[in-house]
Amino acid sequence: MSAFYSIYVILDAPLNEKNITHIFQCGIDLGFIIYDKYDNPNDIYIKSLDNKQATSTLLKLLEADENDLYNAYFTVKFEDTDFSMRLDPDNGHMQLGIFALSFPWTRSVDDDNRTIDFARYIRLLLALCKDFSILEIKTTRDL
Amino acid sequence: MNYVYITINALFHYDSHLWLSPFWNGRRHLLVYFEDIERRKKHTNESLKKLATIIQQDFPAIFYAQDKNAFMKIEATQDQLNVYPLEPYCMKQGIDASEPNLDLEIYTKIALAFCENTAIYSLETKHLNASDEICP
Repeated sequence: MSAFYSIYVILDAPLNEKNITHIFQCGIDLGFIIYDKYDNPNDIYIKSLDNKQATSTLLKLLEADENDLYNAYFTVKFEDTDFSMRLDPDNGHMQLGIFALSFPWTRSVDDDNRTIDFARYIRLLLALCKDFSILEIKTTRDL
Repeated sequence: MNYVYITINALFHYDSHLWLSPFWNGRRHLLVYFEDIERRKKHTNESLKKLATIIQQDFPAIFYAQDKNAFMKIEATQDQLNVYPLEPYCMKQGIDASEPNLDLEIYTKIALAFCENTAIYSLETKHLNASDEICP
């Protein structure tokens, strides 16, 4: 049975251009390849974005409809995994989440059972947020 | 200040040699274990084995750990580990933060160190009130 995994952190910083840029730059420094899906009717992730493009795209998405942040996410490729990444406002703080993990890092438990390697993704998220103070972390698994 | 603790759900192994247990994982990350944190009384292998036996029998066990400047209280059961940061807290003031906060990066990394040989089913932070008593 497949499941929908996500990991969220809430950072003690407002969601603004400077902080968004910082997060994207950290990701790019780690080796993230960020793909655009904005204005792409076929949802094909072909255009990789640099830091400035990713920031301005996200700001456009956030401004487009503040009540519907559903589309404000990017697809990120990193090493041998890829996932969606979103930045949302959360009571004056910045919420950063990764979800929809494709080709996920897994870990074996008890013989043949394999499950998602949350520890590796959490460490990746901690590295991405190293310059911010973290208020909360949460993993979810929805069937 | 943001008072939180970290709770991890995973299926831990507590064997009689401690080799697969979270105790062993923590030792490999150079954690020091204490029976009594105020008197700095360290756990011996024998006392850790007793804790492992208690957990194997499905009772919770409490111990204390130190990693460099970070002290914490750990509540362990067969499938859950709660990590409570203790004073003196490791603090961090991030970019754009109005005040220093608990350095959750450090405490989360330590919590993950206990889980090296098992898979985590969930990890989350939970809030504590400033008045909550953590140490017995």
